Amino acid sequence: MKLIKFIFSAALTLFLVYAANRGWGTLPALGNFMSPQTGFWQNDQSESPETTMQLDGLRSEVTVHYDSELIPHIFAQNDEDLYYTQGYITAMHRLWQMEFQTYAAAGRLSEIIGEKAIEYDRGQRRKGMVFGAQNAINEMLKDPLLSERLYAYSNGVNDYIASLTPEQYPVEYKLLGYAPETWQPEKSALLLMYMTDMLAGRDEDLENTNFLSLFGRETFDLLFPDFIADQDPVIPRERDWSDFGKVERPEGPEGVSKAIVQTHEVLEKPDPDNGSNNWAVNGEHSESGNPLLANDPHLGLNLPSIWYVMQLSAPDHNVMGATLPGALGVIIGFNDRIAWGVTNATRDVKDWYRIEFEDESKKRYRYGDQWRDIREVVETIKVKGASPVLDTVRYTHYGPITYDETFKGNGRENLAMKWIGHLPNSNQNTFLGLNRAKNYEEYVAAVSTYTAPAQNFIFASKDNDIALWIQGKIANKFNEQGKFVMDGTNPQNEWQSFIPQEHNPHVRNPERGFVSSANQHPTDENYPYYVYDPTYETYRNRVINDYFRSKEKFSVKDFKDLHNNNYNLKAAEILPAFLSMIESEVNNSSEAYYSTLSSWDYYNHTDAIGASIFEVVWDEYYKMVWDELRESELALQLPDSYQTIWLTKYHADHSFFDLKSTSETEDASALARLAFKEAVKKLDAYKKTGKSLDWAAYKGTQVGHLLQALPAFSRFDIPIGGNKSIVNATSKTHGPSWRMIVELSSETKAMGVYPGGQSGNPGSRYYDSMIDTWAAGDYYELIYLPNAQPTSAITSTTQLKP
Amino acid sequence: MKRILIHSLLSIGLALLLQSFTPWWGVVIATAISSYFIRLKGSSVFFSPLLSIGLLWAIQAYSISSSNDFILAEKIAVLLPLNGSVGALIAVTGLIGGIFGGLGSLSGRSLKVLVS
Repeated sequence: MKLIKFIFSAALTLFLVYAANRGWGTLPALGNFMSPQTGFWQNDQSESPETTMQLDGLRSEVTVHYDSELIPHIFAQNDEDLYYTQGYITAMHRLWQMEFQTYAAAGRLSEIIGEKAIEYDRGQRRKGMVFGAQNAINEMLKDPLLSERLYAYSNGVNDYIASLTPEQYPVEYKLLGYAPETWQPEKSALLLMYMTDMLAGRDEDLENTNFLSLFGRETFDLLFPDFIADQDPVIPRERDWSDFGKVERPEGPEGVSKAIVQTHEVLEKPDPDNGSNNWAVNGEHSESGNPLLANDPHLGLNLPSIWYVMQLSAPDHNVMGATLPGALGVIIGFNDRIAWGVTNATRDVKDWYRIEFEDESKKRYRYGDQWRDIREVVETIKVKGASPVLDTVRYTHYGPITYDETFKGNGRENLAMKWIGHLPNSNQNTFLGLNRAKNYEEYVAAVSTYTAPAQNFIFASKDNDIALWIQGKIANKFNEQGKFVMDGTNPQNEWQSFIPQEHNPHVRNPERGFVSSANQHPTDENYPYYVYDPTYETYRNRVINDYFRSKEKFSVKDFKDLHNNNYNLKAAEILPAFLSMIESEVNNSSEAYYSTLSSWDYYNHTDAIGASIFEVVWDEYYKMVWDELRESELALQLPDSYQTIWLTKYHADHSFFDLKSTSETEDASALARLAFKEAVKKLDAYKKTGKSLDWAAYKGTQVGHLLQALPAFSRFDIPIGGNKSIVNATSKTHGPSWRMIVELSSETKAMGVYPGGQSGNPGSRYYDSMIDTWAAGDYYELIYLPNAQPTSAITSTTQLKP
Repeated sequence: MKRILIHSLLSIGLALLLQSFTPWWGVVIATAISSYFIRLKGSSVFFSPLLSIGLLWAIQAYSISSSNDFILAEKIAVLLPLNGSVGALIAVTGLIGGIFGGLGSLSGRSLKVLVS
């Protein structure tokens, strides 16, 4: 009996300890997670930097000052120590995020979140994300100086990881039940690949091909034109390209613009709103006489934030700005001579080739009159709580066969991807070069080797130069090359050469006195090379450029106002027509909406009810116009808002306006009335919930935690105006992820803000401390210390000793 | 009653000592040792350490979190989900610690009975 009692109690105890020591489904290991000594309680603290730290990886002493927003100001005595410390301090505040993003890039999320991520992981591997990162790191490690810096950064991250005991791990590790792994330079390449995918990973070739097969050439050209009449390109139209002489253009084969394949399911694409604004004026156009530069990259709004602000100083340079946790140096910032920023210079840099195999063994594929060998890569996807999944990815000389009978596409054909992201590159060096650049020539030298994602690199200097290079490695294509899926058996369909770097569009000190970009067309149609992308932005650029044409001189305050400008040009271009089309439909129940809409001033301010009504009506209308495309079994892309409005104005009786679900034949007016009726229903239903119709409340901007917007770690209902296609590009989940304004006075003055905070720890007061300031359209002064002497703005200092 | 007090103090002392180098389940060992050497009667074998270790965890949790204005506790209380109540979160923390304290105690006591 005694024995039975003992066995029973001991067994029960052991079993329950076991049960509480492991996670169940989405539930964390409760014993470990709830324990005050090991669990999340240990993360309930805000950073209070230590005064001294002993770090064996250093060569000399390093000083790290912090200001009131926990921005580190690092002063090192050599470059290696600088990047070592950047790695160490970044990991201290953002370790989980750094790792998570590289896991996401490499298609390893199943390892930490289980089976639900398998399809995502397969997609990442079939896109060749690791292939690209490896090509990049191999290239980067060939450069001894860069290699030394990458390893220094990596050592810094690893020394931080090694200093941790499990109870000190960031809370997400405890929640998901895993531990940080060793960092390697390859992970920095993966992080850059993550950005390349986000910014240059979008293409619509398969959808274009499907559209062509369903609706024909004429309709395709009508709805998806290469250029549009209203464009205000990055490089001013005044630019005459005759100095290029006659440029070499490749010859394409016959029939390249034919629909050779139909597909049903395509990979998930990066958000089409990933974009940015930047602009700069020279001293003649600045009220203070100093050049001014501004930048705001628009990305998904996430916590921990994608950006982390730092000042990095070594004897040969002193730079400050936004860094990407995982990459070296400052990505968008300034030093004591120059300032620079980036916006995405989107271009069709991802193409698809239909592959023909010799036989079912899939060992060789046709290329011209020969057979070429396939390189098979067996991908092993580890899965939390389940056995690993194997996936064979076949590589052609173009790139990986992403779609085949086992993965999306049409379940039959093999489509290989050719992508600029796969090419060897040293893109990391461009940023390290910009960090040190002192003038226009050094800026050009830094950007000229940059390959992808192509960017509009904006520049201003204390020499009163302003400039913008649209830089990336861009294939020199024949007309329409890669707009549709190509026949991979024909060598003529290859990317045959690249546009010579010096022919990349650029402008220095233009007559108009300002440079700017907002993801619009890089040039007008006279640029002598083929330019195509399906996602050029059509509204923000015109608002920005019109503003800079509106007066002579600009101030920092003007720059702030422009960042926060809520003018909805799209609404201004369609609403008057809408109002007259729907007028006859207005009745007692919709009268109030109609009159609010008529008196709305086209500004998406936080309290604008007209903006909410417009956005609902527009969404309904847009959905109804493209009902045929949305309901198709083939994968299709809808024409953009600009083209939809153009069609409404100039082809109001086009058959696309006819709603398939009704027996009548609608035109644009009839459809607008139906859309208004439907919108009124939606608005009435929304009002019944008791919520405010103010635009900010209706929009409900949120900043979501990287783990599928885990509500507990996210922020909701942030009061901010704007929307996509507006200069203040803040939509529900997307928007200005960093806002920076730099004045190049004798002492560089700068301000910045982002929708997050310096700490990645949800338990820290610095986790989301900048969000309210960001939402209010305010900024923090960026404390740019000329040397290691602290000023009154410094709140604490850590001395790092070797 | 005095015995319960001594048992509680010993359990808490051992728990504090052990938890600096064992995983979270150090509390199980702490109460097992206490109950091996100090004989509790009846249901107090389970409920006395439930209370003492439960209190220990709750107080520790409170003191860590209160100095940071409960920033993370409030979020975890949404995550778990406890309706955002930090009080409930501290109570659950204490309960989990307490249950394992009680289980350790039961095992220690039954081992003592077995070998004596």
